Amino acid sequence: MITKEITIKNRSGLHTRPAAAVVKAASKFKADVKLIRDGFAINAKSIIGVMTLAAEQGSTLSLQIDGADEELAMAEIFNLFDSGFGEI
Amino acid sequence: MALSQKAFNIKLNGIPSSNGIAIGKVYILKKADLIISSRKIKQEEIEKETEKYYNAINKLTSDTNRLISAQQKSTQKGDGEAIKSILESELILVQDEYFKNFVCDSIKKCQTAEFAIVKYLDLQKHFFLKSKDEILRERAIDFDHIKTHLISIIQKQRIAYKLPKEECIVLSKSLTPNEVVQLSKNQVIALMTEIGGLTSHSSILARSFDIPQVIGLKNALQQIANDDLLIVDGFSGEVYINPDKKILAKYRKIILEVKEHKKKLGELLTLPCETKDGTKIKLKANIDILEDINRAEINGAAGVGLVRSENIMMNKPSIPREEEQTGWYKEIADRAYPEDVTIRVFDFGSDKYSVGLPKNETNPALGMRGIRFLLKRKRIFKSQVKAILRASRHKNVRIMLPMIANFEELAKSKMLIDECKAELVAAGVSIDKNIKVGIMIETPASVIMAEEFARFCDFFSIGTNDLTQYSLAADRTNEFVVDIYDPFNPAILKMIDMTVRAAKKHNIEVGVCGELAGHSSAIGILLGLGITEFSVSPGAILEIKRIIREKNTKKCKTLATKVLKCKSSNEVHSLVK
Repeated sequence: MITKEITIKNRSGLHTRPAAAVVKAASKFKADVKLIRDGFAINAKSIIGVMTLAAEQGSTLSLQIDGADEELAMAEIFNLFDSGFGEI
Repeated sequence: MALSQKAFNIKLNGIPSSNGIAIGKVYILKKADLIISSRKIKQEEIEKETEKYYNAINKLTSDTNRLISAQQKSTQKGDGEAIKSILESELILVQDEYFKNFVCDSIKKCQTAEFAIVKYLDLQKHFFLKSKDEILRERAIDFDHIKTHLISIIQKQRIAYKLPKEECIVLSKSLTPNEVVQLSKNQVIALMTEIGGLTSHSSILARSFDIPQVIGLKNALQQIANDDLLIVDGFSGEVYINPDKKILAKYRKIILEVKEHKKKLGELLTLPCETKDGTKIKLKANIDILEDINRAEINGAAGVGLVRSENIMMNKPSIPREEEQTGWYKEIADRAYPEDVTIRVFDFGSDKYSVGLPKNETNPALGMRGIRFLLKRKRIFKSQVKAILRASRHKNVRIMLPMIANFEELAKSKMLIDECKAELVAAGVSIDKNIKVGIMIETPASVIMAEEFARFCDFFSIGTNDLTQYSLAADRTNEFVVDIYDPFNPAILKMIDMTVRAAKKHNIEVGVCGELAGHSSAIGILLGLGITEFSVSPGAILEIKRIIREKNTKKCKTLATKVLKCKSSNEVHSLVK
């Protein structure tokens, strides 16, 4: 299992479109992907879950990935957050 | 004889969310209210209800996929990728396993599919509405759109509207992303809604399709009737209902002018601002009066790189109060959205403004100006910072500090900004808590200390006019030394180079907002020094864009290397000729 801190960079935060991008990316991998905010963990393969976080710009989350392809998944999903979902 | 109840010559003010002007008859798009019954279904109806739900999902999926592929085929209109990702995000939402399980479980407990959908999506919307962040609160409307879409399919309510065959302007309470995509294909020349935010998907789509749009027109449906003649000004957010001949003539003229202007500039307006080899350049506008924002928009500025706030209040007898200033900054920020706006706090000097300043300074340029004045007059400084913060709720505003010469000025200003933030947050005002704060690089000291200052700034903006005047110790309004004042002096170019290096090292943005940025023969040098952000007067934007598009980054770099080795301005001038 690997965990990494991520910061929401795009100014509109984790709304529908970025949330959909996270789900699309996470669903490509076998590993379990979780996003944790203030101790509240959700499944990153569910858009409803991701959106429940209502994470605004500047908020930090932990990205926790567990499974055989966790390294690859981490690289791709982390990159997605880091690039601000291409909408900074 | 029945009296006509027609509104005549009435002006409404909304929020401009997509540029352009349209004159035409209005078509009101009425939508039936969703009626959700909370009745329980019978045990034997469960299977049928579940099937109904899945059919609806399948229908929405195939409808949306068809819309996406149709959109991808007609490439001439709109930004394909943005449109696709917006429509796709709706699909991913309705396909969500958790969402599906919730609805199916609810149906098993004898609830209707509609009831379960509404319950789940309303809960989701609630999370967003609860957010302290204004942008996320605005996005809560996405859930309503998906709800409407899904339920109208289940209830087999075709969203029945028959658009007129001729050109029309569409008014609705709100518009879903789907509706905007569908309307964009028809004879619709402008869109208007009563509700909706600048950041909503529908607004993004309207901008992407280049259809003028005004949103936030409160009570427009009560004042506008089908077939009313309207002027929709997507630049200013003004809407005129059945305007008189004078206003019509004025706007017809503006439309012609915009058309002429676009024709004259040809494709340059729509082409990206990048060098021949594809380096993207941000070309922004400087703003001195509020009306400049019109010119900035028409010329396709990528935001506002410098608001000279002291010029906006020129001719006012005293410094306007926080509320009035908030109005200006909000107007500029909202109209530039989604692009950024950099507001420079008052750069008063005793030559420009006299209230509360020492009289008869022997050397005003080296006296009580810029940040020095503001730090002495904290009430003025605070009310301006607060006004800027109030306009920052969509996170597209940056604060810029002028005339920074030492670290204390930067540190004190940042403390004051933090104080203002805390006071506004405590008062429940929606602001951008991470607002970017940067400094003007216009004193030689700030160049020499750029590395140290960069750690405490979010961006640098090089003000070449003052930097030249202070570095060469030559007043450009003094005819005896005006030949010494030359921004092409290698000393100045070296200072720009130092500033860019410091900014790159600390990974902060750096731009040029002085006159040099608008000087056609300086562009190559600045590009070569690594400048990727220019802010110039609105009228110069397209000319500078034309020049940038002819440049090659590699050649510019070679030029910059040569220029940095020059001994004199003359040598530099001969290189760029």
